[in-house]
Amino acid sequence: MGSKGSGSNNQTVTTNLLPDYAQPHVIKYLDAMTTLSNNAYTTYTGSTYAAQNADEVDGIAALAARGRNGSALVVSGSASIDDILSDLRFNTNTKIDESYTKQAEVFVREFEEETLPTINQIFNLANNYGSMSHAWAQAKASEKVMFKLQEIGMNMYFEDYMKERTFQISNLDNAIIYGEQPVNDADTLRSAGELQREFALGQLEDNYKKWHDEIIKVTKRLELLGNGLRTVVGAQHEETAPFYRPSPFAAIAGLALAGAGAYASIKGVGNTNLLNKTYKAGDISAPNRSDLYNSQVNTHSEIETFGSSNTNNNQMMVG
Amino acid sequence: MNKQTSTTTMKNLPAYAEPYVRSYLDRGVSVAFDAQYDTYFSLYTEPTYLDLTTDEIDGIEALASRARNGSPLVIKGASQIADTLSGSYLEGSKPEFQTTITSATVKPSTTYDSKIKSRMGGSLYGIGDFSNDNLAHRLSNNLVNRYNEIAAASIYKGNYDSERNNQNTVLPKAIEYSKESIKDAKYLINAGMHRRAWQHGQYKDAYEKWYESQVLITNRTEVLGNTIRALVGTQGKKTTPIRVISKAVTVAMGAISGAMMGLYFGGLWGMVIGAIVGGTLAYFSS
Repeated sequence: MGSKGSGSNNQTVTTNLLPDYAQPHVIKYLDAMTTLSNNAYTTYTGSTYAAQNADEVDGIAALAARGRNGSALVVSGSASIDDILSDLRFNTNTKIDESYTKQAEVFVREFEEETLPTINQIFNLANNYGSMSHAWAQAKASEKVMFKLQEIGMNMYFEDYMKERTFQISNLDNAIIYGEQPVNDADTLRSAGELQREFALGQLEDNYKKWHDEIIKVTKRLELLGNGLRTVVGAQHEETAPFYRPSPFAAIAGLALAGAGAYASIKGVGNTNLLNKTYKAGDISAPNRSDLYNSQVNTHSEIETFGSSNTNNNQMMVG
Repeated sequence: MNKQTSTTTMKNLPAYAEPYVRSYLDRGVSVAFDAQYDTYFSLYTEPTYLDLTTDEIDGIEALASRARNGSPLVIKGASQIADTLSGSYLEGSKPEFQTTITSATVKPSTTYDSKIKSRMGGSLYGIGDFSNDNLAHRLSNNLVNRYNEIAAASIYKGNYDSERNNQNTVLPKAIEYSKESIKDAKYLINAGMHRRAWQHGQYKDAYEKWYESQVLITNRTEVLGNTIRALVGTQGKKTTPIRVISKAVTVAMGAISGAMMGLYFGGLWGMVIGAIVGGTLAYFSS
């Protein structure tokens, strides 16, 4: 407020930032938000989390069983590779002896039925049967059979050994692949457990969300009204400020001064002969310096205007 | 000059909205503090985290065990490669190889002795040979040993050739096998990470529960805070300092004005009276 005695009133400036025709709608909106803030957000009663279906349950169980027990094929394969790399498959070919025997028989029979009778017959006809030559011929013939038998033996047994060594070398790659199977099994088992746990955890999270929805309902409802009001804030701006003006006394005084001044100028009211008087020291009626100055100015003016009236002198003074 | 103040009032809310604002504020206070709303600001007491399942525990343990101990197959394979590269198979000193040599030599020897040698020889019915022994047998006595040695030498040589080839073949496999320890280490890390991920989740869940308990009161109080924030700016008062002319100066100015007027109209006495009147008017008008 202004100072005491001064003339001041309040002035209010209102700025509408919303069209007047919108006001009823705004009120309707606020009413609606008030109503909603009391009864919005009912509890959802439908399902929000689905139970595992039979396929999932069976699948997870199968996954866990596979992970826990491993694959029968992989177990067999691993055992086989393990035997091979452990040198357990050397000299285990049960068919090799029979095969050797059958192949050896061919040469034995040939020796028995062809070679030896032929030699005996030749030496018999030559009457050298039982001779040293005969024995030598038999021995040489038998040497050829021995050579064949050794060849068969080498082919059968050494080749079997070599094949087994080849299996060992070629299964080195398989050992790596099969060696990773326990890792796959372990991870499969863990994954099955994780799937089961994640499902159960999802159920817990869903329960929490439902609970939270209920808990937060009051605040959300309240904020419906809050948002409604935030929409309206700023829709209208009203500013009331003091408006200052001169007090009646000041106005009257100002007017009186102005009027008196004008009157004095027009009518020439006032003492202009102060210089003609003689004053004693201490006389309170003695003119001040401004009076003397004004008298001198008037004297000069009279000279310049060749005896013009006092009115003119005053006009100059005012000017 | 005197210091005074000027107050300006502002409103940013239409008058018709004020009842709604008051209602909103009242409800905010009620929600924040009234006991009837206590249940809406309580802690969740149901479980929010689960233990590892048995399958997970067993799976992680199997993974860790496999990673820590390595694969038996891979260990044996690596041993094979190491033996091959170091030349353990070159000399044919392995028992399996010796068995092979035995089989490859004994069988033909047995066959020869039992089915060939036994049929050799002849009865003395002609002139010349008076000896009683079988000359054919004697002639072939060293035959088996000689051929066994030939066969063995051939087998040793074949084995050496083959093993040299094997050494060449397993070279790239050695690289692959050398990576197995890295894989095992990663499997072990994975096992540890699975366990840690679960434990981390447990810690996180515990922290969230603790945090909710900590902010519960704050959240409730902030309900009121939100209502208040909605009101901020709806109304304001601005007080600014203003400077006005002091009463003494006003009186002095009035006195001077009055004196001037009195001087014109009444001379010196007029000036005095004018000063008094002017000062008085100024005093009451200020």
